[in-house]
Amino acid sequence: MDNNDSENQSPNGLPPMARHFLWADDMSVVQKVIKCLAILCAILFVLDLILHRHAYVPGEGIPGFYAVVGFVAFTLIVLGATQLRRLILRNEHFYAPYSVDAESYPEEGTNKLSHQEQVLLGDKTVNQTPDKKPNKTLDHGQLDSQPNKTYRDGDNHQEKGPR
Amino acid sequence: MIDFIAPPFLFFYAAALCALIGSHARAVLLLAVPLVALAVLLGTSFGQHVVIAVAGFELVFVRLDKLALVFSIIFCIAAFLAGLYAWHVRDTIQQIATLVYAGAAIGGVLAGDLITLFLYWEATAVASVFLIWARRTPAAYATGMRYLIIQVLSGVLLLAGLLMHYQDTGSIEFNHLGLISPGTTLIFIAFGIKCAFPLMHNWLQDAYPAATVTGTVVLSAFTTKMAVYALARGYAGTEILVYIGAVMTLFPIFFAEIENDLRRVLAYSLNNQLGFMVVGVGVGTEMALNGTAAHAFCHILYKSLLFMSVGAVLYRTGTSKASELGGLYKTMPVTMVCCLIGAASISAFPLFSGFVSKSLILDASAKNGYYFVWFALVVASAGVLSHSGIKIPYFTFFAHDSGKRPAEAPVHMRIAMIITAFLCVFIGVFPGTLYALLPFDVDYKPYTVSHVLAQMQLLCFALLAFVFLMRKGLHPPEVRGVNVDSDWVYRKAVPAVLSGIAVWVATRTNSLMSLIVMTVKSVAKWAYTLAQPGGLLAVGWGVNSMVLIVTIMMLLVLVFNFA
Repeated sequence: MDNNDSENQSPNGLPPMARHFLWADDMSVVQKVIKCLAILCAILFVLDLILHRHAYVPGEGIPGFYAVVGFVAFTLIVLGATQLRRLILRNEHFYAPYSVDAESYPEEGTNKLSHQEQVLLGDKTVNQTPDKKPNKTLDHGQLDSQPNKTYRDGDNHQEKGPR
Repeated sequence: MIDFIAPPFLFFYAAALCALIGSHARAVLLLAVPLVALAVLLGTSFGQHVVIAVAGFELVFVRLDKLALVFSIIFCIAAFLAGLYAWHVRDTIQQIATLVYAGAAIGGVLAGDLITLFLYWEATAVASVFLIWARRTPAAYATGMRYLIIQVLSGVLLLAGLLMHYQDTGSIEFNHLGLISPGTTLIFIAFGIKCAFPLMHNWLQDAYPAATVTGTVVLSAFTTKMAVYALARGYAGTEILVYIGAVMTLFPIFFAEIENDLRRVLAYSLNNQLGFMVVGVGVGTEMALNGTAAHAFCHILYKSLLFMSVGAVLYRTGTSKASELGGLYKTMPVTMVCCLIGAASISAFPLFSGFVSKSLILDASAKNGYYFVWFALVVASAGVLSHSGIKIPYFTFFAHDSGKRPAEAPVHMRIAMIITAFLCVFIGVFPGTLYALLPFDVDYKPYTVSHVLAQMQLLCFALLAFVFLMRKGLHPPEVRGVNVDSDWVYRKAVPAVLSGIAVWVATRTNSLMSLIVMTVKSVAKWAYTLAQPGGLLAVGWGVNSMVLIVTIMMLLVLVFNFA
């Protein structure tokens, strides 16, 4: 919704519930959250030194065992997966036309309503669109001044393939 | 009485009725039938019901015990939630397929003998493929065919196995089988295909993302968990399952981490979760089987919830590709919160459902001395957090702003997600309610200092690792593309080799044919030169030379006669 972007950015255009989460875009708050996470980790680590943890498996009882495993396993999984991608990533059209990767999801199965349209039409219209027959009143062309390019992700097949 | 209203039959009656009634009534039916079936189930006593003699076999259509009960209860709940989520769907084919599929899956769980199991086993395959074809694109048709071939293959192996087993033992009862004969091995492989064992798993990741928005939610609940139930019934304590399960928990993590299509990420994640259940079956103790049943129960809920939230995003934006999404929390906050609850549940945060079920399996494997497997499961738990706990919600609803401002999911989808999310939290907070349903008595406390501290450390430090990797730019970005998995063998390599062989044979045949033609041609030409006017054979012979030749031949006869 490029044309509606500025409007949507203001908290007033958003659903009330979403306003509680706007801090997610504020880097300074995100930094604080990360700090809290780091403090929580530190507390958990200290607690592990103090509290007795019942261990079934040899080594499991070592303080910080789960902390180290959590951090190292996660890191190795992500790094390993990155290496795996170098081996196995192919163009979206690799299996085309026998695979759904290259095609966009059929329009009939969706109800691509923007938040702006939902506010304009009221929530109840949302349920009137059957799966197979899109409701004409909700067609993009009638409500948007320009065609909404960002929604039609699959139309331009050739543009973003990795190879 | 139960003969006519056995839970699976109720679904089939409803499916037949669908052909006659309007679209709204069909949607109501999809909601009502699972609830009625659930009521019937709860009102049925343990034991065998609906026993029908066919061709000398006693087919037991309903065999209810605690193991079957917990699976059929969750199947009814899943069918209800999927029906609610699909309230807007007016496609008769999808509605009938959903009913038949859910009924067949419950039938499979309640089947008391192998022949009945086989019938339902195939019915799930045939019914579910329509949820993929309902997408109505050529690619979905091709994907559905691949899915169907593999599913039917599983059924055929089951049939072959059960025939051999019957030959060996004279019994078609479906109780503990064990890997003791070729027949039971074939049945094991049949179960393994549906349970997506490593290298037999590709149908899952291939087909589930190809189904419709609502179809994937339905698909995610039944087939694989029916297979887990079948393994728990027939192969509990079979040690090889412990190792198969451990591999299953690990390898899909890597694929899920780099996959772009979020519904396929969830399919890989589903595969990983099945691994935990398979380990539980392999360990085979009462605690481990309780863990498997509990994990299947919780898993169906949180996996449905995750598929629902990604489905809602697909429904509103037309894509489920992470590279195209981001920042959706601004206009889809309810979906986002539900997705986060699903993510927390699958990651097994304390107070969420995954925590109370997964720890049963982990503890069972540790107590029985499978230390390496236990360690694999701990590592896999960190991996679950990476792809399902973080990747799904983060790249859909946060991360970089895609600029998309889709409307919130329709009301019925929101209600379905909220109920499912509520159940995930409820089970996490009150694990006793789930434990009461499990096949064996539960003497287990998930909320001990040791458990909570261990799990919180694991998850928080894994989160810290995520922050670290994002800051360093080491986390793989979401890019469009296809990740090749082992299905490359039958989708690319085998067709390429076969067509190579075909070309080779064709060229060889061609050159052989031309050689023969050339030979025949030159022989004909030579014969023609001999026989043409003026040729050697066409010359008129005189009497003298004829007499000479006859004399020579007679002489030769004489010589050979007396020599």
